[in-house]
Amino acid sequence: MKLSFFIVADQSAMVGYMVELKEVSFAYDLYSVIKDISFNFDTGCFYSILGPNGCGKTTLLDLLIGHLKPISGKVVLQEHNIASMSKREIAKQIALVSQNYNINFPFTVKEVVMMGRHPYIGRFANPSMEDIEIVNRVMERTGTESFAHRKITDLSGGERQRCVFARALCQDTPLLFLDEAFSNMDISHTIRLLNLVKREVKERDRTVISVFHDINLAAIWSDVLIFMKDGKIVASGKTEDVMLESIIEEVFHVKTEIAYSHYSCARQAHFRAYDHD
Amino acid sequence: MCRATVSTSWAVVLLSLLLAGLILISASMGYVKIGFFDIVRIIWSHLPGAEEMRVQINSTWPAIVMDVRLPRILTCTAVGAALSLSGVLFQGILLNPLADPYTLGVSAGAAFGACTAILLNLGAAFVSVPLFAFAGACLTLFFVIFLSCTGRSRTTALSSNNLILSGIIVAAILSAGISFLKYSADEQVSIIIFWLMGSFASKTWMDVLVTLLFLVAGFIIALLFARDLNLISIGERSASSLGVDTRKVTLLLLITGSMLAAVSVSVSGIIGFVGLLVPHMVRFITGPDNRSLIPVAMLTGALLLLGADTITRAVLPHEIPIGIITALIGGPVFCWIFKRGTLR
Repeated sequence: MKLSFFIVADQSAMVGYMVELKEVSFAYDLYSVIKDISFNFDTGCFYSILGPNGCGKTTLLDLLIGHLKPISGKVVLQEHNIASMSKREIAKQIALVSQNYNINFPFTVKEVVMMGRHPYIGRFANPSMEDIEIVNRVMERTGTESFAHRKITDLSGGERQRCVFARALCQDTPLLFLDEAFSNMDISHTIRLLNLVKREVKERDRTVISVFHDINLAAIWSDVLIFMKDGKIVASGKTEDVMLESIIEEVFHVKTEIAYSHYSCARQAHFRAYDHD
Repeated sequence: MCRATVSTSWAVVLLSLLLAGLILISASMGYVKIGFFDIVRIIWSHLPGAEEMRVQINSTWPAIVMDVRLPRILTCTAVGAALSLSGVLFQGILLNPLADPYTLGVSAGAAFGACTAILLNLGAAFVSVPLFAFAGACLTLFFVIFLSCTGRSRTTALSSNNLILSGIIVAAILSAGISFLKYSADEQVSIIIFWLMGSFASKTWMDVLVTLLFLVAGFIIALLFARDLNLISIGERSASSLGVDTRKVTLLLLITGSMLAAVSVSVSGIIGFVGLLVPHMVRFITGPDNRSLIPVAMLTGALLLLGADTITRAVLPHEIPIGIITALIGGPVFCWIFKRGTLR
């Protein structure tokens, strides 16, 4: 009895969510972008945010990582108000693969990936053996080691995106945000990196919050889907529960047929050309 | 990474030796030729504890070297380093390998201040012109920062686009102001024009001291934040998610870079192309890592500007304003780099 009591107590201490949005609103000047969103993100779960262009997905990620301050409500990261945390503290908790991976200066790929260790390296220190080891391992796993010594400015968009992805993995954070991180990658690298990330979620209890355009990719790899429209969450839940024709039609205004794919082991949306209507 | 650090230290040692050599050679050149070893002896005799050596030397030489040539040479060296460092900082902050210390209108502000002082004929010109130039540069900088902070939202505040745009607007207004001052200056217009073209003639130890003070402070700040600047130079959003307080660091480095440019302009007038070209060329050798780039670019800038000043002072039959020399040499070099398509 005593033992089980301790386990219960321990669990209740762990109940705190990874990140919480508490009645968060945000506006650019008077143009309201995020309207009173509350949501709790759990550990060990792969979340995908889906929604039409301009519905506030990227703004939501910016609020979650503390780049933007909500005009009302608050973001709580592991029971701390994110507004009171330093950038360095946040960088040890959240890594972001952003949409913009343009780099104007000819750093080598390895230098760029090493930047992921920045929050852990003191102002005057050089990277430790551990830092170098982490960078080498991540580069091997992401398939970026083959161009480790090339200049980032000479690479294609997809290769550069993989470097930025590797950099985020080097931050070794419990939370990973992907903001259309696969938009320029070919399908083989997309699948490779999604599998890598999924394994981190399952084996190391990490949390991924990803903004996707490809509904079907999101449905295959995500545990929870969040549908956004006009700055609000219109539907969210386990992928198999919310991957519904009615929801997709409401959010994106497209006709679709959704069926379970035995090959993908997930529900998949099918579309067709306009003239069949 | 280790190898890069080692080769950087070698470059720093080599360039420092070259610079020391060039300072001595430059001091020996000029209207009165003084032997290389005499220069060493004169400088040696002015160090504390070697006073008895002075009696053995030709009586006018120490005055020429210590009061005329060395202040000019050292000011020039410090300004060359300051302009290059300033260029490195601006290029990193503005995410643009083509930015320079004058991008934010700092030079236009300094020029406007100097023109006002000259036009008002403020008595002791040696003090008031540099002082007005410095004040003009600072006021311009803070106005540009103020202007670029009032963006559409807080995300765009202090962004590189905002800064560049504000700088261009303010510089355009100021250059119209300068034109007006020139127009209403009558016979003083030639003083204004000469000041604007830049010169190291008749610099004093005071100039050396002031420039060095700013240079050392700027160098320390720049080295402290070199790694943060690396991250900022790849993009604000990335830098911020990697743990850099971008707004704070940007502001600090912006002020540092502008102060360096302001003190350079107020001491020597407007000297173009050094801040643009030197970081650019050095980046080919050291790569874009600011921890190597900063010291190597400073030494290279000092070497090149001292070389140019020695040419105009001691080699050419008549002294030409240094600003013209740097533009005449720097411009074509820039065209060559541009045409090679390696603009990175």
